[in-house]
Amino acid sequence: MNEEKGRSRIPGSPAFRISSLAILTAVTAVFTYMVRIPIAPTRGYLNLGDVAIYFTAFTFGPVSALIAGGVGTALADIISGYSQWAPISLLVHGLQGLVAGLIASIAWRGKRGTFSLFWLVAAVAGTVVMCAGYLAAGTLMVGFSAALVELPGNLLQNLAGVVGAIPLTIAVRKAYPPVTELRW
Amino acid sequence: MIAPVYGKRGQSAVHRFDPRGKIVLLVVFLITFFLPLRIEHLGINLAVVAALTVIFLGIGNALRPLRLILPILILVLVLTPPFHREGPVLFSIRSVPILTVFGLLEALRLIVRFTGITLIFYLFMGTTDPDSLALAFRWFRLPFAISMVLSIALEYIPTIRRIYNQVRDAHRLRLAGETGEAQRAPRAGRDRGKVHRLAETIPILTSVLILSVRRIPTLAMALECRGVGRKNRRSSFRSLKTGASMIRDGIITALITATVVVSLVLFP
Repeated sequence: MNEEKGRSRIPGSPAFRISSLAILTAVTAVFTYMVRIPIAPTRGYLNLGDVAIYFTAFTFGPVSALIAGGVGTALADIISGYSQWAPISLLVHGLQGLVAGLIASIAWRGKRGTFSLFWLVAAVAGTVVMCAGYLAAGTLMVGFSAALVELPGNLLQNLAGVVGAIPLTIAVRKAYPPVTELRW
Repeated sequence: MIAPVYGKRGQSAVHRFDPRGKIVLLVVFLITFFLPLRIEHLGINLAVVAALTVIFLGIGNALRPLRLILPILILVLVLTPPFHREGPVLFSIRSVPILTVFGLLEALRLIVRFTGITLIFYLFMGTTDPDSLALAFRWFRLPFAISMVLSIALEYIPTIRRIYNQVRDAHRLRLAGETGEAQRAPRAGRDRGKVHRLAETIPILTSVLILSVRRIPTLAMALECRGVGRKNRRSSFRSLKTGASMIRDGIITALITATVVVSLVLFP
């Protein structure tokens, strides 16, 4: 029984991988469609999906960030009624998480639980991937000029993601140290 | 969870149509909207998709996605023509062409494309339930683990939303005194800025994340108890249609696809 109980806590087991990806996907979806900070002048809002993507990339690694980031934001788009953007979110946010996770993995091998400059580099690379991806996809769907209008919003949202994700990652690791053992 | 956005679930022919066929038709129609076709051809495609949406989801539900994308359509109409100045000039300011026939056609093409893509996705999501969708993706060889992640994530979204609401309410109660202070100086409260609002959100998100990731080992154990990760053959509680109805829907899908391809060849 104890052996059975301990096996699923091994981060490499299929059940563990599925459950961690599912929970992180659901968290990303909720952060994207529910946690919104209004921007008064334009009546628009910033969503915090990028905070969840960068947290996943820094804490759980590139594969988790690829799947949770891509699928989570795509689900959020579907739930909010913007399903036409779901395939693009799946690709762009997935890539954003993968790139940020790969760069952040360099920091993981070194020191654990403290702020690393690699996180900033990872977030900047993720921002570039996300903004370029949405600009390219937007150009295909609505033309370059309309896609360009969305660029400052995407940049601002990513900035909020970076500003939020770094303190959040440190806070979660301090408040719940076992989170680092959940990485696979 | 998805149904309220796309209207009430129905039992129409499209609702009952095989999800595998719907995925194929979604891809076919998406490709046609991205092809460099004549505007009339794109318009006919849009009319077909719009008519199907109105018939099977109702006029109210068909207008909902259009209201959501209206601002971006206006942006496309205003911003696209100045970037395409070829062709006869329709409107100019001090001999600088602002609106040309080509610019107007390009703007219309983009509007038709984006509206068509929006409506076809809306029709697809409004007439397909998520469980059937996951099964259809598995039929198209999506790995079992990914479809499992998708199904569990959809089940967990309401749970995490509830956790978020509880934590947010708890933080509001704790900060009630501070809020009262802000009410006494409303202008100061308004001018705090987005960074301050983000900073206020961090403690809530920290608690939500910790409460969420703590569920991972428990969920993993539950999945192992259900046999996930074992080598033996998996059984499924739900399955897609088989037999005559599957063949009928397959033939309909093939016929519609063939019609679209023939129309593309005959009227490029």
